[in-house]
Amino acid sequence: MARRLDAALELLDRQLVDKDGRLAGKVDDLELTDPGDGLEQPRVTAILTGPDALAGRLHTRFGRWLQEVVLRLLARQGPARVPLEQVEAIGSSIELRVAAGRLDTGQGWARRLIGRLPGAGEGDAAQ
Amino acid sequence: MALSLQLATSVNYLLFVPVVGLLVWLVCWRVRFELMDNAVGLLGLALIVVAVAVWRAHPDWGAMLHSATHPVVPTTESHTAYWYFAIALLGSAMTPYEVFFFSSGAVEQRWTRSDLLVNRLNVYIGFPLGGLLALALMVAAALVLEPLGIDPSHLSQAALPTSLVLGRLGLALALLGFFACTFGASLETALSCGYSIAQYVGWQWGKFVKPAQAPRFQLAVLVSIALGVGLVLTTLDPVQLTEYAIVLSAAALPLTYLPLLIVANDPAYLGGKVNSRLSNAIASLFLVVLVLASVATIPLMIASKAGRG
Amino acid sequence: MRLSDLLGAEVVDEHGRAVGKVHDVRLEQAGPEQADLGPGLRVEGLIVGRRALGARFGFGRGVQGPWLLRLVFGSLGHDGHYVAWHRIRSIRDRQIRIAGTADDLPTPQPSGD
Repeated sequence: MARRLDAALELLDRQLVDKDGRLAGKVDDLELTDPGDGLEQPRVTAILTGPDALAGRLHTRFGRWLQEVVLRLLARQGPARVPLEQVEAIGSSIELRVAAGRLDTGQGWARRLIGRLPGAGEGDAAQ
Repeated sequence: MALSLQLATSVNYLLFVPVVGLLVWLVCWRVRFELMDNAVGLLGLALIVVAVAVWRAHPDWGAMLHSATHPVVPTTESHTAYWYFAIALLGSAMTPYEVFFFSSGAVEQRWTRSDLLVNRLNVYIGFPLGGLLALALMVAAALVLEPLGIDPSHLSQAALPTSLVLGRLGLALALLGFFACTFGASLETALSCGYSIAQYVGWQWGKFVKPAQAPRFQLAVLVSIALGVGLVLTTLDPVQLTEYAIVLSAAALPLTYLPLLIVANDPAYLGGKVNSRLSNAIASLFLVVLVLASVATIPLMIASKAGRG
Repeated sequence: MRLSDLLGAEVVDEHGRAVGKVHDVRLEQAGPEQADLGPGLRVEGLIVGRRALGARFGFGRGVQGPWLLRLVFGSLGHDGHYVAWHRIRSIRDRQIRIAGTADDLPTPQPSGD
């Protein structure tokens, strides 16, 4: 029998772990296909992560404003996407087939800041 | 820590605060987890000198045991104050941040199943020892300061009984112990801030990766140290601040305890090592105690005027 | 569309009466049983209405004890209703209209394999 999952309980807010064991953020939202006029059953196409995905969960005016602000401030093209094909396993955390470095989860600014301090290890082999 | 340094050097503690803050951050930044943990723990054992001081003071053990088993609240003091102190003691022994520190520390040190025994010993030996030393401090104060009418509100007064009984060496060891314990607590709380924030949001965390690979975690640690330093520099009484922090964390305890108890029963996380019925029974009993203590905290705080009433 | 567009949406029956809010979305593996998610995950239905707190803690999906908590936080099952996707008539502006009424909706089965 095929596996059944409750999205909010078992997928949302779970930790994403890349193929090297590095932590890559949480599942902040899921991208679904549009049901369209025929109301077809949507399929999950990708996991969304990052501050803009999180802001999108607030279905209030404040949430929409936050989304626009975050997008402009961090100069992003939208939330980081993990296509479903790159998911290796779903358990207490979501294991991915790719390396976390390929995902843009918005930590660039922090890395530039911290990387300046002596002993930060910047310049070592990137993930 | 700055207070300990002030006692040792007579330089105002406020000047030491930024220095100590920097030191805490440097250790969090560069020192290996295991080394940091062990060094601070061993140095903290210097506090055993307080227990020695109590022993050397030749108290009337029989009378002490009697008054401990037949508690009588003096007419000049209120029962609510003692209940308030009881909650404060509970809060100082069980602080929520320890959950984050211990569990994250286990990952930092790459523990496996075979390390479970070490962790158990840590708890069975470490916590009672800590309790014993806390008790020694209280007994020493009761034996020496109470007859003199001194109400200790400054760290120096906590060291007084030891220095009276054991002289300069005793005082030096006591100060070393105070410094090590407060330093250790600062490291633990700073790292716990980093751990809890990073783990909540999903960032890479830990000292087991280079700082550049966990930049937001390192930032969280740095910012929390900076905020702590800022708070102390407002010249609010540090001992009172600590007291309020501990009491409020006692009030918040059930919120950390409950999820932990549930996870301890979840085979998806623990496999075959979920809680036994005995553990669950004891843990549930404790949960009830903690909830009662938590609910009573704020009313008691108000009613006893934070122990002064 | 995103998952968050479905979560929290109001569900009304064919007479316009409120059934509840969407609390969860039931997904199912679209292809044959295997660990690989290649065939994808498909939305099978919605879980509407109050969800028992105990379910969130894991009681009913593996967590057995302590009995005190089980007693306090209640049931193994879910409260609320399960709306299979084919019963949906329209999705518009955070409001989902379904055929039939709340009375002929089953309670959700626990998820799992």
